[in-house]
Amino acid sequence: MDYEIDDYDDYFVDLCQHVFANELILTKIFRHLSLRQLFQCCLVCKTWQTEARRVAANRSQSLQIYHLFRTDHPEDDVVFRDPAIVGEAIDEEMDYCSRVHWVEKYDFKAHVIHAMSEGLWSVPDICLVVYGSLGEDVKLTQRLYHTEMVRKSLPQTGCLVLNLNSQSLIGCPTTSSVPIHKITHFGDLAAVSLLLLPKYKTGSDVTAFSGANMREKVFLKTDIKAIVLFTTSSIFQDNRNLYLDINSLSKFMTGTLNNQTAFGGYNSAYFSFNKRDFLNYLVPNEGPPGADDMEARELIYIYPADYTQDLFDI
Amino acid sequence: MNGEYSLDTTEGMAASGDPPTNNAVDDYDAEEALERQREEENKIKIKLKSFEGGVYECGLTAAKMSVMVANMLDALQETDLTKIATREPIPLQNDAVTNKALEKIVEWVDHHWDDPPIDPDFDDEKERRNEELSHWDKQFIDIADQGELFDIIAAANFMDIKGLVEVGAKHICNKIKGKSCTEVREMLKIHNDFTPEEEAAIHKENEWIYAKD
Repeated sequence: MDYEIDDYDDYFVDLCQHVFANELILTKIFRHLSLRQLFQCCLVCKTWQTEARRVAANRSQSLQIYHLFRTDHPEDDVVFRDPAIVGEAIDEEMDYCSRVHWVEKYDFKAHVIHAMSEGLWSVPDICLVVYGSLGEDVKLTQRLYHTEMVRKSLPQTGCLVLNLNSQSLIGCPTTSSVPIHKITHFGDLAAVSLLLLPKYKTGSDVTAFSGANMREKVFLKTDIKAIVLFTTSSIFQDNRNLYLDINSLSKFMTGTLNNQTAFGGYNSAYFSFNKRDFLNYLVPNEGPPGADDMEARELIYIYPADYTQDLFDI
Repeated sequence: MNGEYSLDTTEGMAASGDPPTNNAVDDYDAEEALERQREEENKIKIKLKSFEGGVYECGLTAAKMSVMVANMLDALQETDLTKIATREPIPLQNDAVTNKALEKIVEWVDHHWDDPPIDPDFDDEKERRNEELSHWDKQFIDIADQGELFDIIAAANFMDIKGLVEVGAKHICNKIKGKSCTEVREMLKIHNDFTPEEEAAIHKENEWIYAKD
């Protein structure tokens, strides 16, 4: 767009619209704001409202999970206290913003993961560990962080740790020329296999892990002997995407997947795994090209992850 | 400038993407070799051309802080990096990339070229994002002319310089902290596109903000 010097005001207004309607820039600005200020930003304009609510929802999920987990595990008081500040826990008198701030600062989820993985002493050498996204639906960084925590907590370092969600199970297709660890919507499987599988980590060609190749590398060349599941019952029940994934995965397990036994708090469980059926599911031998991807889309959209809306009603 | 620097440690990497293998870097571990490579590459000066036609020179490593510029350089498939210096200036076709903005951007990347690369996939990124701006960055971004400031942010976003966009975002964030939505709209020239009914509904939804804790 060309502007004369006299048009500077017009240029400035256009520039502002250009800069402050840009989702990437707004996200970067909003993540430094307090929750209270974020909700103020909802009132600026529609674009800001959309972005501010999205950023706020991500933060609020931490708090929601805290409450769900605490309700389910009242005996595990230690998880709810910040060891850096002796004895300090969320005070029921705290206002909403302060509680969100506390949960974020304390990194509550990391402690939950650590507590859940304590019982996993007999997992096979190579197994697939799956767990829910713990409320982080969009932030790959957070997922990787928690995945790495799970991996560190396991007795067997050879475990393939997979933060399970719809995309990760199904392995959505992506552009082969783009390094997958730069594609944040791709799901965790790609990122985890790239960054956390020790055998692939050193000198791996990142572009080779994309799309079907990635699935092939992980599932055909990794000798998965069992699947370990752990999550909390509340988180599981609340997370429709995870519910979908577990149900999909259960088709390939021997034994009965029982909600009470498999997902009862810290009661982690592992199942023998029908790898052949699973591979046929992931890489079908028949059907038109993209048939599995069509199925993937269908599965994802049956249960849209719109539950974040409820967070505003807390 | 062509041939002025010995790039025997870097040509192999540029061509194959593999770590350098010749004897010159045998004594260094991979990290040191990479550092040395970045340092050598930054001695090569390339030219960037603003939307207004101004040409500005900066180090190759510094220029590659812009993902867009890095991709353009990769597309050249030039194995002899010294030849890049003799090429035509790289045109940056976006009206936010004014002479002033590009001059400031070059100043920023020249100062930050040896920063650790930003990778949002690693968990220490959260910590980095929460860091305060350095004194240098604070002075750099404290620009009285709002138009110039927003040009820099828009241009940095166009050129995909994540670190600089982050600096701009933190600065804007500091400016809007504590301001009402009306003040924010006025400051950033944002049009209120809510109907009165919609605005009232949002006020009602967020009325807990104004409640006494």
